Amino acid sequence: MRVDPLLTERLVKSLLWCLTGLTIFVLIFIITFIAIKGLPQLSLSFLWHDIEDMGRAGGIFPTLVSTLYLTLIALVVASPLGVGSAIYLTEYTLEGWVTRLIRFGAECLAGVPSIILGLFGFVLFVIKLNFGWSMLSGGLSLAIMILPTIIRTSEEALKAVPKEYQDVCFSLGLSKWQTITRVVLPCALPGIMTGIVLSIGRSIGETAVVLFTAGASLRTPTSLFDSGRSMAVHFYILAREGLSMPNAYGTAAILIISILLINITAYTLMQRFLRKYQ
Amino acid sequence: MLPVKIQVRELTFHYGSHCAIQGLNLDIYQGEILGLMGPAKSGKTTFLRVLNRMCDLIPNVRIQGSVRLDDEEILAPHYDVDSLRRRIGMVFAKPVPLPRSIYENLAFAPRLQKKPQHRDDLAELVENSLKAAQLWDEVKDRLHDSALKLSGGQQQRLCLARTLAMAPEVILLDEPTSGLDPISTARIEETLTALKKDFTIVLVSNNTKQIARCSDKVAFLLMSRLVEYGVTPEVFMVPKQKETDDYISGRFG
Amino acid sequence: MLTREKLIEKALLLLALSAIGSLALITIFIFLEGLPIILKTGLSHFIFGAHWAPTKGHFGILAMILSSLYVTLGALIFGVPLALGCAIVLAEFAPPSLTRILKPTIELLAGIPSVVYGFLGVILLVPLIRTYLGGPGLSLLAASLILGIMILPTVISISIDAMHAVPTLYREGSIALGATQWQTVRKLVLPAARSGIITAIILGMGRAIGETMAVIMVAGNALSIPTSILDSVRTLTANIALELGYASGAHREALFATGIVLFIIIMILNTAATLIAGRR
Repeated sequence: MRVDPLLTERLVKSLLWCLTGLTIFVLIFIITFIAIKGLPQLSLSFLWHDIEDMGRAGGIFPTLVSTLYLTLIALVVASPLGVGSAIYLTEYTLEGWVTRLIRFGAECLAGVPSIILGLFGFVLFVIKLNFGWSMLSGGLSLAIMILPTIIRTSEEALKAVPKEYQDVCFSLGLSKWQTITRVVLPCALPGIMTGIVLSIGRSIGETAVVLFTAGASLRTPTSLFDSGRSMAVHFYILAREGLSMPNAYGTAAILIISILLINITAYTLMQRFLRKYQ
Repeated sequence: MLPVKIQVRELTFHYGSHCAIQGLNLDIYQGEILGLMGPAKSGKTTFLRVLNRMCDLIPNVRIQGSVRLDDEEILAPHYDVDSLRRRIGMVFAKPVPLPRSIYENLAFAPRLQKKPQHRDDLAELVENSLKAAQLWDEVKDRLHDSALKLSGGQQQRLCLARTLAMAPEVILLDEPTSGLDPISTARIEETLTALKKDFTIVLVSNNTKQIARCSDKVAFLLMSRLVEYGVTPEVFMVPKQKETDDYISGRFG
Repeated sequence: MLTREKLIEKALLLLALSAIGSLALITIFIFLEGLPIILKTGLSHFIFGAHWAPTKGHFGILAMILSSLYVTLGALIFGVPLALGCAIVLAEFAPPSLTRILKPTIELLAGIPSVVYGFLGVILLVPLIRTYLGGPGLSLLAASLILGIMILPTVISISIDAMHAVPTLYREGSIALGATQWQTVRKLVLPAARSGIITAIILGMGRAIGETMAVIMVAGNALSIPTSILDSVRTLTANIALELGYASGAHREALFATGIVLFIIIMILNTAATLIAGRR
């Protein structure tokens, strides 16, 4: 029996639209649910107070400081490495086995699960280098995690800068490095920033890496070698041990809101950058 | 007789296995416009890019022969190409203003060379270069606007002014009017004629009439070889080679 | 001047080696820490042994390998049809203006931390499963569902890109021959975008198998080979994360050895994805 193609068309289309609706519903639901449950818990004192009674009471101030600390270290380490790699890949080499090796490395690194990075950071930074559970160990491990993202986005941004600019610069007697620093990098900056901003979002949300490298101390870290729990780790501990549901929802809301804002910033930056060159 | 500025001897250029220029001999005289004409892919642009060593940027090329600028071999392996490019400026087919203000486009290269130390000197250099490129009157009130807002013809004159601001000795122009309307084209040609007393100019164009209008000497390239070279009116009136005759009378190309 | 430029180039090359260098370091350290215990236990005992009692010297991770595979498979079963359906609609059927809003929205959701997914799984999904299907609730099924949702953004976004890369001319040709939109998609767009879609699925698989926090929270973490989808399971990742905090000596080495197995699985998936993507 031959099925009428128009009937199939209508059936398939309605099925697919249903699937789409379901997908989008699930994803939107997650955000709305956390927002509805978490936003009422938020207050200035929640943000400004120390953690009390293992998280059953008090605020989340130390976790904000830890998160900021870790993210900052990761960015300071990974940005020069990532942007430098991207400059080398786009400006200094031709496609060949070296670039393929570097790109393959970056792609594989992007795929390494966070728990493996946690294991690695634990054995290298915490134990072998004797940094202990600390901001430094955590920040360095996060740096490795975000490195591939920064390389990839920077590479794309650099590639989007018109090649003619370089011709013009060379014809004006600029050296390669002058060309890159004075013209190519400034033009690619918004695109590069997109990668960096996205990496901030990932660092904030990461748990497995941080848990085994920065520890879970309740105190506010003051030096590179202090342990401290990031917001995500704090949320994980609250939720897993069922210490305080209101505080868990509040922390989750802050986590999600900050990450969404950061990702929206990244997206807008990228759109503006692309509009400029296309 | 004007002095020879650039002397090219037995220049052969390969991209991989493809030969783009073969056994080229040519003298370029100071204070003249040399017109370089020929159909597409005849080696004109490649030749320009050899003169300021922009050809170094292309992978897989082989250059043989000699090119001497003021009796100095510029194809020598350790030659300082950055300063060479400051002596030999280039204007491209497509106008490419850098995404900065008009003023910054012009001040860009001189500032990096740290030539005029004082701000007023720099402003004067910008003004003189814009005047020489006949753009000053149109932009003097908006020097700090983005250069990208200029029209195509203005952008190309800006590129010319930017090259002039480096105070080069030779200016290479690669089909500078190919994307422009007749009025803009006429202004550029006018400018070139006015500039030739101070500079040596090499003008590449596949518009034979433009070559006939502007240049003092003309070289005709065809399939990687120099077919004919001579004083412009003579080449256009009584070409020695049949190919030249066919090309300028429009039988091919 | 020339030497300065050369110096800069060398320095940049050094920076560029940071990614592959980190990867090498990770590999070296994980193997250095984990390999001795695998050799001591014997590879087949380690991988095919079903008994994990590290304090008593039993290191068999078969249950965890199987759990990881089942959970990943489950995630694909739930996630891929949803993701592909969504990608087809957004790339082919929906008006472009809608896609322009929805695609970035979906990509934004890739940023939701895995702990949040896990948390929602615990408070919403697990009770539902416990009430309506029985069992402990914390189960293979719960983990599969949560992971299925987590891989949606990755798979959707890459699949849409793959379908957008198919030239519009092909579609117009097909429609002009009288094919319906669905016939065009099925016979033309999907085959043309196949390698991109497979890459998307492999990357989603990598994400699912490597996910840790969400799985720990919803899978129950029981140490046995699952026999039903309602059984509590412990994946490779969960095993490392649960025990690393207090493990020492041979026990810690065994956790790194678990990491080696996970690492190798991921590398195989990555290489496959790179090869498939490179073939396009």
